[in-house]
Amino acid sequence: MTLIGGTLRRLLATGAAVFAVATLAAWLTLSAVWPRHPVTVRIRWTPATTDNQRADAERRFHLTSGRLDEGTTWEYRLTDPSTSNIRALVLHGAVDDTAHLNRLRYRPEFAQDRSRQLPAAAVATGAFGAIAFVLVTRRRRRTVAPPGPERPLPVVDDWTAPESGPAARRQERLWSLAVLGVAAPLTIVLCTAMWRTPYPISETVSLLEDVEIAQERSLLSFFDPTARSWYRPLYHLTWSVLWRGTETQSTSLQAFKLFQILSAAVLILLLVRCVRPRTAFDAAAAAFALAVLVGMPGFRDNLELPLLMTLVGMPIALMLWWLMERPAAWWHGPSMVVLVLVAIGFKEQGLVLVPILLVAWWMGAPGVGRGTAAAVTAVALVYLTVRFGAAGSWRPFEQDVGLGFQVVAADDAFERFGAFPWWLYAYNAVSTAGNILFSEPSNGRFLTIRDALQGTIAPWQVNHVLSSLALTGLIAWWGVQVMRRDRGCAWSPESRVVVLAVIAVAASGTLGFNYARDRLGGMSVVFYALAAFHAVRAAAWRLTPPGTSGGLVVGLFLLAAAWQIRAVGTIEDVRAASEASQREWITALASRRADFADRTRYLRILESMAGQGLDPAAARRSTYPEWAASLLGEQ
Amino acid sequence: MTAPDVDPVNTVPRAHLVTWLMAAPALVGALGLAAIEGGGLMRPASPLTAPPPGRSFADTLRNGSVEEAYAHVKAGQDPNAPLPFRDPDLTAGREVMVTPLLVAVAAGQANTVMMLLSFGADLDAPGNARAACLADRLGHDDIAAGIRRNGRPLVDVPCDTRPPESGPRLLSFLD
Repeated sequence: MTLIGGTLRRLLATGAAVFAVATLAAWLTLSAVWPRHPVTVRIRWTPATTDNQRADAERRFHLTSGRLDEGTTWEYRLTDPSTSNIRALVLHGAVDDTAHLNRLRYRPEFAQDRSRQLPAAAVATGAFGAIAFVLVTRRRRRTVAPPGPERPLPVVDDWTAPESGPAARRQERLWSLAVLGVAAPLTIVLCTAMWRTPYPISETVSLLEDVEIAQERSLLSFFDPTARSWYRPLYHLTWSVLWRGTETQSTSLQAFKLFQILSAAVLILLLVRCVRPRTAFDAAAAAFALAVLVGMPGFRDNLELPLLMTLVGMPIALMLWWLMERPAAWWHGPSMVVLVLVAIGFKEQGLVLVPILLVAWWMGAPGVGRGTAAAVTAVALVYLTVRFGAAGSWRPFEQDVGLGFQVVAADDAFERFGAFPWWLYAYNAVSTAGNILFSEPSNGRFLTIRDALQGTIAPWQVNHVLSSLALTGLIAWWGVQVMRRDRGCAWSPESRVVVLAVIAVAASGTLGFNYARDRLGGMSVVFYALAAFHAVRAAAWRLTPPGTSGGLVVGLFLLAAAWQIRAVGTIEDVRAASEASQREWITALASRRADFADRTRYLRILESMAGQGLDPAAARRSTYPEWAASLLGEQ
Repeated sequence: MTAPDVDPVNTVPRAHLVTWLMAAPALVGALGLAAIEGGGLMRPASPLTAPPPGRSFADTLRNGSVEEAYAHVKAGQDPNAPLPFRDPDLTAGREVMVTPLLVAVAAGQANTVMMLLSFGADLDAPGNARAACLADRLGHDDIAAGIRRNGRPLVDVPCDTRPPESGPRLLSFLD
């Protein structure tokens, strides 16, 4: 009885979960694809209504394609079926009666009301999915023989394992090259698009003006923690070195762009190096992980010129992970400390590496010694002491803040939350973490939910949210499996990836407390991609025995396809940024010349950069068919 | 619990299928990108990579993007030279000679107005002096402010403060 009750409870719980997920998926999908037609309505105007009054009312209430039916009754196409518009129409003095409108709810009749049909269809789909799942599950229980001993989840062997011999290394090189070959078109096209992207006026010209002024004083001025509320001395130093070390300004701009492109390319190469594919099976999972890396908002947002600060830290995170998992060597410690210093020197987000390294040491990563952990802790403490020592000049909110569906200007945020900013700080931190895990919210704003509520959600938004939800769920499932497997044993490299991914997401969120931006999740993107490799590999392994659900195999394929679409969308996103940057040069030159007429240095840099800004060879978006463009991204 | 020494594709039933399904999107993506981008390099007029077909400067100022309008200026079109312009809404279908700046203002193309001011449109040139007045009359406050701020005319032209007459917007202003 208890067994039956337990089985029933499990079945009901699983059915309810399937219902919820299927309903949500159907709702998001239908919102994107369900066509919106104008509502056909009939209106009987009062006899006293003149032609002019009727024409005014038609314009006001968005009544188009009017056709006289009989007497004073007209048939129209209502293009604004919002409740407020219908309420105003129904209650208008010139309107005697209406047809095809619900006069109590102020909505179109159900047969024409997309906003009511859509949730009904979503719920029906969810119910159908849940019932089908329950029936299929019950049928399988009756027909499939009891499973044998569960096949173990294969472990990715560590660097010290005895089987890492020459043959294994040959296999590794072979499959790494195969993955890089598959990734080559994506990487090359992405890098080419970045190379052909002009620097924007905003961000760049003022930045270079600052660099010029600072280097006339002393290079040490870049290291002054009181100069600004942000502290990126190595970023400014890089600009300064390139500015001085190259013969022309054009060359220094190109060198900096090359540095940014190389950071992205090295990141892709390093991911393949770190996952060490040794079989076709691993190589397929590695190709999946690369698509995840390139398709994440945290990667995409960090490609923006000239903001390479976090993009430098991302390959450094992978280098650290690679060093941590290798057998200890004398040079590991100093190298790790230098890498952490470089990442922090480019941007505060480099601090994410400190808890990563400490937790890796605590979990027994072979390449991290106690001395390294102590040195990195000391570096972090000194850094935080220096930064907080100069915190008196910080404003509570440095930039505009996304909140709910809105953007709150920094000054308004200070007015509203300045007395007790901690709630908003917590919101920003959770938003950054949410963007990494679910692709929503974006920059602190729940735009996908807003668009779904308004019925204007786009296919790319559905793809981003659903693929992130599914992958994060898969990673969570794999993480639980790995932690259970390793309970009571030494931590494996995989269990360290699980914990480090969680730490990276939490630390990225915490460091994004002041304002939420997609790019602030950059440091955790690499650990998310590593976890994705292991999770999808484990899931695929589970699906290999005959008799496992074909639906799950198809689901894995759809997930891989969804992330591949996101990765290609990143290219179009870079091209859209290129167009936006060039548009700024085309339209804003006159206003910048007028606004900065008294700053000769600014004007000189502005004029000297105009050539690259107006270059007709700048990257342009591809003119894909509409359905493909809507799937690749907003742009 | 070590990783398989032998590729599971060769040893585990159904691993072939799962591996191919996992890798298929990446392979299709790679081949598709190579074909599209390679095709774009070989044939610059590829429909996926080529810019939209050109149209006249006047039509571009009225209906086109700022990038298209800039391409005309970059190709040598004088931003101060009056051009023949006809539009059912703005001129009731009558052809008039009018400067590009006035066309862009009448069409409410703020970006194009700013582009013309950036690339040679002169408010002291004949025909352009009253561009801000036209923007005022049409209620394009942002365009009017942008012209006054960025155009820097030598002589400020007073605007006619009479209420606008009904009829085609640009034609009634020119009359």
